[in-house]
Amino acid sequence: MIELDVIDAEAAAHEGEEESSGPTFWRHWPESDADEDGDDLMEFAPGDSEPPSGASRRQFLQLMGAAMAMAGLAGCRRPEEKILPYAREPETVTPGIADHYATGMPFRGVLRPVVAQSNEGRPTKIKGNSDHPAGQSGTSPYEQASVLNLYDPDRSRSVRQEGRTASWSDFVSFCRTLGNEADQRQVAVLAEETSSPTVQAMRQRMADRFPNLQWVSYAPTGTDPRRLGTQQAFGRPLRPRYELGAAEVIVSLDANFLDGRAPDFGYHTQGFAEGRRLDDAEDTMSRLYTVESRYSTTGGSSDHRLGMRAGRIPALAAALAAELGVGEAPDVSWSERERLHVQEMARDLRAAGEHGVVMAGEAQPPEVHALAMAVNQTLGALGTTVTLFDTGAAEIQPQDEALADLTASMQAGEVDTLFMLGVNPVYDAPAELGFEEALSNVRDTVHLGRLRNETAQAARWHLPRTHYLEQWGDGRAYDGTPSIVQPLIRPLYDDAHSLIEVLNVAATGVDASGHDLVREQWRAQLSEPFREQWRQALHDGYLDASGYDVASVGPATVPSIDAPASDPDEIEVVFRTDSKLLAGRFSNNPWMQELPDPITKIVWDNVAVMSRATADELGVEVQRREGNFYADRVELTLEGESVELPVWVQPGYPDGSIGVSMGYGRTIASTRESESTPFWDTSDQTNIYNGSPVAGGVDASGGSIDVVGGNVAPMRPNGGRVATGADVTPTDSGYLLATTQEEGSMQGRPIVRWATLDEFKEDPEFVNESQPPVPELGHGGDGHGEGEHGDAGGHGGDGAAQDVSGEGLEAGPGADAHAADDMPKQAAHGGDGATGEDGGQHGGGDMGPAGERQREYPMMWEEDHPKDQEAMKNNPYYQNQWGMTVDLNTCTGCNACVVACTSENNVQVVGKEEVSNGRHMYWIRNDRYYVSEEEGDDSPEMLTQPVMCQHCENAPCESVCPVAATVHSPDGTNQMVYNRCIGTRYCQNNCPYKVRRFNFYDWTKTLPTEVQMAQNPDVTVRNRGVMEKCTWCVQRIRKHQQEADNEDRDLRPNEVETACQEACPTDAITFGDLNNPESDVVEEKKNPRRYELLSYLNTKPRLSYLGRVRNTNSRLEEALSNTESEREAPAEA
Amino acid sequence: METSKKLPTDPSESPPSPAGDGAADPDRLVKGNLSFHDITEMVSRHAEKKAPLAWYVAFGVSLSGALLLVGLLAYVVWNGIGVWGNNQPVGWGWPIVNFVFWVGIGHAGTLISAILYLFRQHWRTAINRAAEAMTIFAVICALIWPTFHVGRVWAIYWTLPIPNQMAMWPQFKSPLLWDVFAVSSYFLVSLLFWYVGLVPDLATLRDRAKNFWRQRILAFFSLGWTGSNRHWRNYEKAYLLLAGLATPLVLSVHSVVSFDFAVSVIPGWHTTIFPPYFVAGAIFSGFAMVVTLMVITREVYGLKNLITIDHLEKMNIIILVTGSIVGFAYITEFFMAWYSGVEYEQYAFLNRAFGPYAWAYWIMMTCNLITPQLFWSKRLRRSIPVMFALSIVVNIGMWFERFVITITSLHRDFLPSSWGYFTATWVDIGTFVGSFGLFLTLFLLFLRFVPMVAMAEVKGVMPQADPHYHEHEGNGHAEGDGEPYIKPAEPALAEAYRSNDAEAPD
Repeated sequence: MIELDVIDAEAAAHEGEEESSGPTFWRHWPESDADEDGDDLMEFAPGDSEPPSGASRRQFLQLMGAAMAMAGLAGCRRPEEKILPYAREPETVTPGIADHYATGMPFRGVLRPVVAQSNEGRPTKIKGNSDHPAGQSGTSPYEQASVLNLYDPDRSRSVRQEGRTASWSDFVSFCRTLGNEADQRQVAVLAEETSSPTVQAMRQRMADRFPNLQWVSYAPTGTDPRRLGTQQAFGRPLRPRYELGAAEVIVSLDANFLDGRAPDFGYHTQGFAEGRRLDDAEDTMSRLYTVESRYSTTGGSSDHRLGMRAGRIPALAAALAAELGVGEAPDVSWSERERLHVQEMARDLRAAGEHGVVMAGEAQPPEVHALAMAVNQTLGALGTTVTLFDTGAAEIQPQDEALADLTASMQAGEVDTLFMLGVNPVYDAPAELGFEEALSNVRDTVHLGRLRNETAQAARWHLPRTHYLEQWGDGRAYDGTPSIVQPLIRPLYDDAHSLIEVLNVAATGVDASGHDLVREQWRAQLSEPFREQWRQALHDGYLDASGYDVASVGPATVPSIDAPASDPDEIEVVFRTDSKLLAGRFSNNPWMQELPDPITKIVWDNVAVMSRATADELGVEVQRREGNFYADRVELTLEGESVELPVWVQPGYPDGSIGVSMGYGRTIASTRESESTPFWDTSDQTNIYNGSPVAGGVDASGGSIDVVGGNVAPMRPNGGRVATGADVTPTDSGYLLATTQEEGSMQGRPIVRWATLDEFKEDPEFVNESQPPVPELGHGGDGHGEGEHGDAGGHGGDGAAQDVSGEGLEAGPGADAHAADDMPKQAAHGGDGATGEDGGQHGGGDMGPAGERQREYPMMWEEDHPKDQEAMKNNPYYQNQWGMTVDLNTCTGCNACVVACTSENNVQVVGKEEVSNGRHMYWIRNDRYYVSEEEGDDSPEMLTQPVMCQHCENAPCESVCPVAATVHSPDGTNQMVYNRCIGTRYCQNNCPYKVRRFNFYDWTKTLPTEVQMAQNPDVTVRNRGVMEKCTWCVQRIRKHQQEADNEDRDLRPNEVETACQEACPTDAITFGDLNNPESDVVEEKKNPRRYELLSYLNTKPRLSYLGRVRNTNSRLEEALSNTESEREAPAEA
Repeated sequence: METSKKLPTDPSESPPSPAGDGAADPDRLVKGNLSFHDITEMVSRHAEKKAPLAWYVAFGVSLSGALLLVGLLAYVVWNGIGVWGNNQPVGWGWPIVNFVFWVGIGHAGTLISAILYLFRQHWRTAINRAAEAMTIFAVICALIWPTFHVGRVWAIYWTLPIPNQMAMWPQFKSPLLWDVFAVSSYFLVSLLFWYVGLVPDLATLRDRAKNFWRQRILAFFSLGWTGSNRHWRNYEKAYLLLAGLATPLVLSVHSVVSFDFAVSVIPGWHTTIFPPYFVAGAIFSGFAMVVTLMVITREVYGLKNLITIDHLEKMNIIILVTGSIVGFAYITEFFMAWYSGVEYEQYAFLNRAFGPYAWAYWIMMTCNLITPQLFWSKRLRRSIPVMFALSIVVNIGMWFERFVITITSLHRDFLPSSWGYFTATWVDIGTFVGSFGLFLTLFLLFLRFVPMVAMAEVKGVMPQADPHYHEHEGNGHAEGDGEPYIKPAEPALAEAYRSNDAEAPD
């Protein structure tokens, strides 16, 4: 069990006497350690570090103490006898009210600014830091999921030496011995990419101590090509940032900038959304061309997507550049489709000039980056759509080369001490380097990591690492703005240390706290008075106005790109980080394992993605039967390394290419025992945490456990992301792939409604053109009340709705405001108050001779409709009427909302088997549909649509519940009363949107204590046998209402944000009070693209979608369809 | 001993008929030239003597099935609904299929006893007791499913309108609640009806009882029946009233069950044809089950003179008629889907016939629509092996009908993104098999302890029941037109009797 050294009143008082008369609290390190290392502390000269005086402690504690002190009180840690209750409540902590702290998440070499929510000392939820110059409240899925990494029950808990438990002080003494003959030691450090200035300082200290230090930054799939590419173009590594909001034409050369994996995801995706938002027909939007191999969310969001073998993309880039007058076109034969794309992309880019931008993907070789920069420069885009940051880095050696050099010297026995800090090379280094073998030649190997992973098991020393929410640190955001990483909780395991602390021990032999080290570092950076500046930086989460400078560059060197050397018939293998697990950072994170891949919707597996033609050629297939996919498995062999993977046939994937993801096939050592229950109790089988790491590995007794997926990293060529000449042999068939979505076609139904930009301009209300399935009902009123849509005088009905009359259909809680949604150009009558008579009047007035309207038929229980009941109207909640819109034009399908909802609402993970049984628990899902002009077209468009509870006013679920467990709230949401639910599942059957989730098993009974800590205390966990669903974060609504009530004011417009809305990096989700005309949602609902899903059912959803618009290039469309028909014509003849 | 007297169990082994008793009369309901006492003897002895070995074997098998059911329900309650195959989007799986199936089976008994009673179908007397017992047991089996398929069975009583500290009523708009009322009142009325009909026969058993406790117990249940005129008068009135009460319930219970589906918005469920179609289907399956059971019972217990081939043929005709109604409804549904122009509706029906569950649909069509058409042939509908096989086929078909309605409609509805598939688990299969175990256990207990044929009623339709039987020559029918004695009391006739003008009817 985690033991916490807690406040010892006596010792604290005693210490206080020594230092100051003020109260003194416990420090970061256990007192015993501090005593032991008391001498070492003296090593810091005054001014070197803040002396550990009482006063400075108080400073620190004012900010942090409450959260950290309460960490000791959290129920999941067994209190020692020394625990003290709150005699006086800490100033900043009110039980039940969460605190928020700005901090940063280190992510692929940059720091992502975040704000972490702390409930009684437990960090539970992450959101973006919108105050940060590079920040916004939206995040990627990774920030959301990172909180579960903190509570990973398989985290390493203790220092290990030679496979046995050791203590931190053992390691400290080991580091001291390193000091003997330091200048003869061959010390190497293999560290993760980091932007931390303190780490840089520690590196310097290391270099000072060990003159022969070899320092290699390593990431299995880093952003190295980008740095090398800019270095190639401009002589030094620069960091590009794209202003996509200002761009008119965007060409992505395999740049998956809309996926959370991209380091500057937030900024780019937001900028992109800005350029795509359409409020009315006069608005303009950008055009995105994507050339990529694997289907990505970027490809899905693009207007034209060209699927292409990854190995050919550089040549295409060169052809495109040549078309624009940059460099030479390589001698490659292009298909008509490809040729047309190049031609049209070039034409559009030329027309856009400085508002065009070409982005190269991080997995593309450096030449493509250099070329893209040259093209941007030619377009004049540098300075408008492209900003180049000067990170101050000097010329760099490619990481992969550096790693190869290090491995070579290890092999040669030239390294005697190797620190592997935050990296896992045994798992993810290319096998051709022979890293694991080389490791055995190194006498002392030290691994620092959060898990007892592959490298931990191979290293002599393993040190548990702190999570970023437990450590002091710092770093720079993508734009260079520095931030301090502040902990929200004391490390869950006493042995856990941060990268900075370990480096410091290695460099000095002195065990200093991360807090002191970071403070020491920042003392130099901050102006006086330091204390206030430090506090301010901690509070804001960044240090103002200290980002990178914008680089001024000369003309770019244009690299020459040759035609791809590889045989086009040879199968290429494209290596990518996984869209959920990255290269392994989130492998053991069940939220991420169960998160459906944004494209394939596969959970708990990695696959070999290929096109249908390639699969046919290989003689493999994926069968869809019984609601699941059963795939053949293939053995991929490259350079003697092989891995077995199930096949996935992906529309839009180029032929002759196989895409694989890293992050799977782990062998993590468990720290927990498995539990076995009697035969009548299945909870040992349904517990996904039972006894082993969720990603697979070895159990507590050393036995191996089923591993999720296969590890492809060793097959990766060093220095590349694409390999050719793979040997693919089918092995077996019938491998179950669990997906959350079985059907990929909309079946011609008007679910995601979309149009091209031209169509939209012609008919801004095109969403209504998608014929509702009951045309007779839908079109009766055609031609009547034209122009009233949106600005129809709202007849504010009774009560609360009165003050908003004039806001038209959004004004009120009125059910009938939405009745006419599928009926084009019909006045959607204002609002509210739709009593029977009132509705009847409207119906009569607008009756067309051609048909009848739905309004003609009053609902069976109209008079009794909850909104018309006195009790509802007397309820104070009635003042607010909640509504939501989801803009399908800016939604990219990035999944941030899904993970945010999981985190906010304690949505449980059920495991692969249960997902394949159709029992996943997501409250919000991202539906993905493929659309193509013709049946069987192998390069379809992709549409995504987030679907959650639509909060119907005439909810089909409510009327069928026999026990009134799902009811309507006075503020217009559909509520689920878990305590009342007996679990008939009738509501789930009757929900046309299928958003209700049933607890088939007791998912929370078996949650490990650590994972329980990640649960949001404001949301109850659900019992077995009850239904659950999206509540529109009713806990947040109520919290804000209470706050407003306490402050004796009305809710401000847009004050309440749902978790999905908050996390959405493109602000595609808008939520708010329909009764408040200043709410954004009221504005959004006036958008001509607005429609309600399946509204012909008269469910009257409170959630509206804004139809999607594609800004297609009509010339290209036409030319493509001509070539299609040409190609088909001879075939027919 | 009396019980050792050889009674004719089969019309073929009837003793030569006394001259002029009309034994060869094809209209006669009871064959074999039996006397009242023979009837009593024939029926009561099975409730009195030691059961045959076959009974013990059958009981053992059935009881283990029932125990399996109990065990598996405990397993379900302990672990959760997840051990069944239900999922998202198929929230209702086999449990609801089984529920509707068993409720349907439970239709025949009360229909036979109540509706046919009101319509003066005297042939019902031979089978109504067993059919009603079957009804009650089938409804018991049916009630298990909605009870145990809920996620929290310990709170199931919240569906009942019991005043409680939560100050909550059930939600009266929900068809599930209507179900609770419909099925429970159907069960109670059927039970009462059955019991009331049993009283005279229980009294007969009581009078024949030789064991003290047997006599006591039967005396308790026969409510002091003496067979006096007043008792008969009250009895007949009560029976008539209960028949009147049960008749609408026969129609309502399955209509309400169909509302579970028809009231929803799901394509394939949202259909106004459901109530009549469900009732017809229920009668169809119920009669098939009666045929299955009666064919075996009359064989094993030697009741072929009471439950004659004519009885079975009549039931087969009803099976043919209701089967055709059901088949017509299937086709009408298709027509409506096409005619409505609603693409979701159209897809739902095409998906039934050609989607992943097409096999279930075509089993249903074959079993319910096509095979019953064999009964157009008189030879086939009077053939015991054919009708036995067909009755089983019909019940298989009707189970699949519920499967098709429940599962294929749910598995693909409006949004293709949430389409899924349902696969039954071993627990699904085990509980369903177990419910047959329970049903047969109860039915075997019934055969063992309760007169399986309504003796008093059968006697009432025999020629001997005619007060004039012994006075006249002829076939014993009062009017010579095949009408037995019991007929509606016509005021004029009653008046005539009262004025001692006994010759009047002649």
